[in-house]
Order: sequence, then C-alpha cells, then structure tokens
Amino acid sequence: MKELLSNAVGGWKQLIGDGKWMVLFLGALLYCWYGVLKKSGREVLAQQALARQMFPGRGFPGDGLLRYAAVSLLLVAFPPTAALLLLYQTRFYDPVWLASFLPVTVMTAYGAARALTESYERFGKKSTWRALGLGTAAVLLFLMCAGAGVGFEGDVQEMQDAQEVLDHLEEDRNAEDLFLWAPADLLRDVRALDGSVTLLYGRDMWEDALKAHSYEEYLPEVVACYRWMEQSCAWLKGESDEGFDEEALQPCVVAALGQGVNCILLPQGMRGEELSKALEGAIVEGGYSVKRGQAPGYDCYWVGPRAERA
Amino acid sequence: MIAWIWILAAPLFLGQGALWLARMGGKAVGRAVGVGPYAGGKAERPGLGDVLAVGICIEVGLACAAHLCGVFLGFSLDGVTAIWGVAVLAVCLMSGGAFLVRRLRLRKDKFQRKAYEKEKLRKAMTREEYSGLQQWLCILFALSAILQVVLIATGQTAVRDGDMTVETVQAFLRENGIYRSNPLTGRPYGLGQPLRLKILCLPTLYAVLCRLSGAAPLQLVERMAPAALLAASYCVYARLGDLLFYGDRTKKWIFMAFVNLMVWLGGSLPVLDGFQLLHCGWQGTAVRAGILVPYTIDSCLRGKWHRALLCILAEACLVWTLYGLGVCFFITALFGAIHLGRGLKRKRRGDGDERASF
Repeated sequence: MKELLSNAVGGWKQLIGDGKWMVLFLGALLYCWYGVLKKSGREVLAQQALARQMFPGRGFPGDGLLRYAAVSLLLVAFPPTAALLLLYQTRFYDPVWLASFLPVTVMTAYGAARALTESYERFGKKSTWRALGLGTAAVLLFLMCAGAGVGFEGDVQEMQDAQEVLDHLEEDRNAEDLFLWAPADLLRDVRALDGSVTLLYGRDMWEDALKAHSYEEYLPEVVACYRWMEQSCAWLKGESDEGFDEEALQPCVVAALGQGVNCILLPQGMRGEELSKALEGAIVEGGYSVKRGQAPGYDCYWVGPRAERA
Repeated sequence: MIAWIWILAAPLFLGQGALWLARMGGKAVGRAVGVGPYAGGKAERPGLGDVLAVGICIEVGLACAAHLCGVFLGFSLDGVTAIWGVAVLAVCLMSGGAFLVRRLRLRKDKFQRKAYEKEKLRKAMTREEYSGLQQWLCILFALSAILQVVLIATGQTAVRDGDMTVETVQAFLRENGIYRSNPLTGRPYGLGQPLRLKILCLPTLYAVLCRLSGAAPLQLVERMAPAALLAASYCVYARLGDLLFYGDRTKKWIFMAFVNLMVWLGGSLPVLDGFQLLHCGWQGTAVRAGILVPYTIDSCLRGKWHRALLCILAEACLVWTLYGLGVCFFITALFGAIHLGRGLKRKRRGDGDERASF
C-alpha cells in the first residue's frame, strides 16, 4: 500500500512536471466553475428553464462535463483514491497514465473556447484586431504551458538506412533465411521492415517497456553478445576509447553462431580492421567458414559451416 | 490506394449500416448502437462523428471475434481474414437491405414521404450561412488538421519506442497465423505471452487489412491508420463541440481549433491525447484517446448509456484493461454516479428546483 501511495504521488508529480497541461486544465475548470457560481438566482432559473427545454432531464452538457472533470481530478490528485485507480489501471501502466482518467483535452479546449468568446463579448465593441489579439494571447499561453520545443522526431531516415542495408543483404544471401546479429541501431528497425529476418535479440533487450509484452527471457550468453556488440560499436564509431573486449569475443561468437546466426554486421570505422581480423579468427576457430562483404555503412560477415562456404 | 479505401470505407459503411439497421426497428440492435430521442424530443439524426465512432467499435468487435478464432481455434491468418471479410460484408449487405426497405416504404407511404420532404425543405430553409469569422476559423482548422494528417501519412511523426505493433503484424503475415513466433526476434516462443495481451485484436485487424489490400505493414500501421484515426477523431470532437456549445458554430470551431492546438503541442506529455494521436496513432491507447473517450463522454452527456457500453467493449478489445474495465468504464460509471446523485438530490429538494447542480 505504501508503494502504491508513493507511486500515486510520483505519478501526479510527473503529470504536473512535464509541461504545464494540468495548470491549463485546472485553469479551464476554475474558469467554468466560477462562471456557474457567479450567476444570480434569476440567471440560474432562466438557464434551468432553457436546459429543461433543450436537454430534458439532463441539464446543460457543459455543466455535466464540468462535474465529471472536477470529480475525476479530485480522484486522481488525492493519493488514496489515486492508489486505487493505479490498482484499477493495472501494473502494466506507469503512474503517469492516471492522466487517462482526466478529460484534459476536452475540458481545456472547452474552457479556453468559453473564456475566449466570453471575454471578447465582454469588451462591448467588437473588432477584428481585438479578436486577433485575444486569440494570439490564448495561443501563446498554450505554447508556454505545453513546454514548447519539447517534441519527438520521427524515424524516417533511420528506417530508410535500415531498408538500404536489408536490400543489400537480400542480394548477397544465398536463398537462405537471414539470421542477423548486428548493432541495436540497426536491429531496432529490421523486423518492422522485413518479417522474414530472424534476430539474435530484439528491441526488448534494451527497451524495458517491451519486456511486459511476453514472458520470454534472454539467455545470459545472448545478453553478453548484446553487451559485446554495443561496446565494440561505440569503440568503432569513436564514441568510446575502451576498445573491444577480446576475451569475450570468442565465447560470444560461439554462442551467437550456436543460436543459428548466419550474418554478422559491424559498423565501418577507422579502427575496423583490427576488430575484423579478430572476429574472422573467432568465427574460423569456432569451426565455421566466413565470407566478408559490405552493406551501406556496415561490414558484413556471412557465416556458414566450413564445408558449405569454404 | 486499396488500403486507404479499406481503412476509410470500412468504419463508414459499418457505422452507417449499423445505424440504419437500428433505425429500421430492430429494438435490440437499436439499444446496442443507440438511436433514441434527441434533444428536444426529435428523432436523432446521426452525424459523421457518430457513424465513424460506431463503425470503428463494430469493426473492432468483428476483428476481435475473428482474432479469437485465430488464437484459440488455431485458424490461419487467411482464415481470420475470411471470417472478418464475410462478417463485414454481411453487415454491409444487411444495412444495404435495410436502406432499400426504408426507401421502398418511403415511396409507398404517401404520408411518410410528404413528412420526409417537408423536413428536408425545412432544413434547407433554416440552414444558416457561415459568417466570415466562422469561415476563417473553419479554414484555419482545416489547414492545420490537413498538415497534421500529411505529416502522419508521410511518417514524419511516428515514435515506435515501447511498441511492437508493426513487428507483430509482420510476424502474422510471415507465419500466416496469430502469435506463432516472437514478433521481436522471429524465433519461436519459449514461455509465450500474457493472455490479457494475447486477446487484444488490433495487430490482427492491421494484418487483415494488409492481407486484403496488399499494403506494406509499416505503411498501413504507422502512416495510413493513424492519419485516418486523427481525421475520425476530429469528427468525434466536432460532435462533442456541437453538443457542448449547442449549435453555436463560432464557439464550436474555436473549441476545435484548441483541440487541434493541443494535438500539436501534446509532445511534452506522452500520455496525453495529442501525443497519442500525432506520434503513435496506431496504438490501442490512441484509439481510446482519440475516439472512444470523447465518444463515451459525448454519449454520457447525451444520456445514451448503451453507446458508452459499445465504447467499453471496444476498449476491452483494444487496450490492456482490468478484465475489460478500462477508462471508458470509469468515465461511464462516474457520469452515472453523478447523474444518480443529482437525481436523488433533486428528488429530495422537489422536482422543480434544479439548484442542486452546484
């Protein structure tokens, strides 16, 4: 229970920390609520009569939305109820997903539209410039609260690069299924582009969120292969000076080839020759034959039983 | 092109068909898809948002039925595709039949035909022209929404971190079966995967659409489907805007402009609707955020609880929930509780006094 409560508080902190959407949401809620409270008795009665006529038995939809938004905000912000909601949404989701229970988009847009139109009407004399000024102010407020500049870029270029490599490998492979061991940057996109390629390990090796999608666990030697590959890639690209792990090379190669790998890719780099010789040596020492090739940006090592490739 | 037709036409036909069927008097179906008295006591005329939301719910329901055949009865993907295709065709044929019967009845019944023509004429006479401001707002919103759709359709915004839908669809197509190998590696499953995840049908729906249209999974899943979803989502939001501002077009289009702005700016918080729709619109959570949640709120505000039930069922087929109880159920239950609470309070104070609101 203690863990749940701390998660609930953490989720709320994350919600109000990343951008200021909750400030906008709360602002919209308070604006609409104030609009209801400040009405005189006569206005309320007139509105009720109108509501009975337009929406029999239900009241104004805006008021209904307001009530729902207020209650759901209380439930999400109050730690004990938020803890219950965490249990309800299941452990599959992070605490920050509590935001799904809040009508953030609908309520904020509703409040903003009302605030904008009502403040424009309050000015009395209407002009295009005034409307433009108010609209610009609202957009600026949204930009500030959203944390403008925080964004995500698509992965079109990476996908294109991966597709080029796959096309190249397609030409070279001898009508056999491709079983690939390559850097994570490339493996990330391979299965999305071509379902016929088998991988030594997938994205769930380095993306924790994907581990919940299956009960599978990688063998320790496969995890070692991943570590060796990433360390070597960093060295080849000049991102690290640690060098490649010579001791781990032989066991990793044997493990990978034992799993069925028939193609190894390493990024091309200035330091590639040393690693290339060591890798070819390890493959031959493991009882396999190797044929070197190239793919865009990568050195490619085709592996096969000695009898077939030699 | 064929993929676009499938993605856009299937929900439209299914939604319109189901609503026609319901209108034709099948009371049980009517309750399920919800055609009842509209505000002011008139018969409801479903809008595009209605048709799309109901269509998507039915499409998902049919896909889930076919998907479960694949998972539990071992049907191949071809078999699942056939089941889904036949089911969709059957609903379309039935709705086509219902439409024809309705037209024939209308032609035969002089009184009904006169009333229909009178209503048509009244609508044409009372149709308001868009004012200058409304036109500008519409154009601004449309341009911005089209830009978003284009960006999504060209794959500029897709974020795949933490998601494996495309890999799953690739694996289904490659193996011609449902969950026969680990989608991330292509190797056979050792321990398998959680059942609650296994019964979610979205990857199967995409695989079926790929099989029917011949589109590449990456194109269909990450580009076409999210673009169509965003467009459908705006239709549902427009319906909600109509309700919230009860027909005031200026306010409605300002509301839509703010919704559009929130989609653009949603990147700072990945759980928000904006991020879901713009960056990962192929996921179940995006369908929930863009279609099911606004439609559930709309249905609850209109008092159409049976439509909310459709959304609850669709969410259970799409998103990992607590044994089918997800966000849509929470929304419906909370709206129901507020509604009941207000009703009780009103009763205690006397029927005429509605001050119980606040």
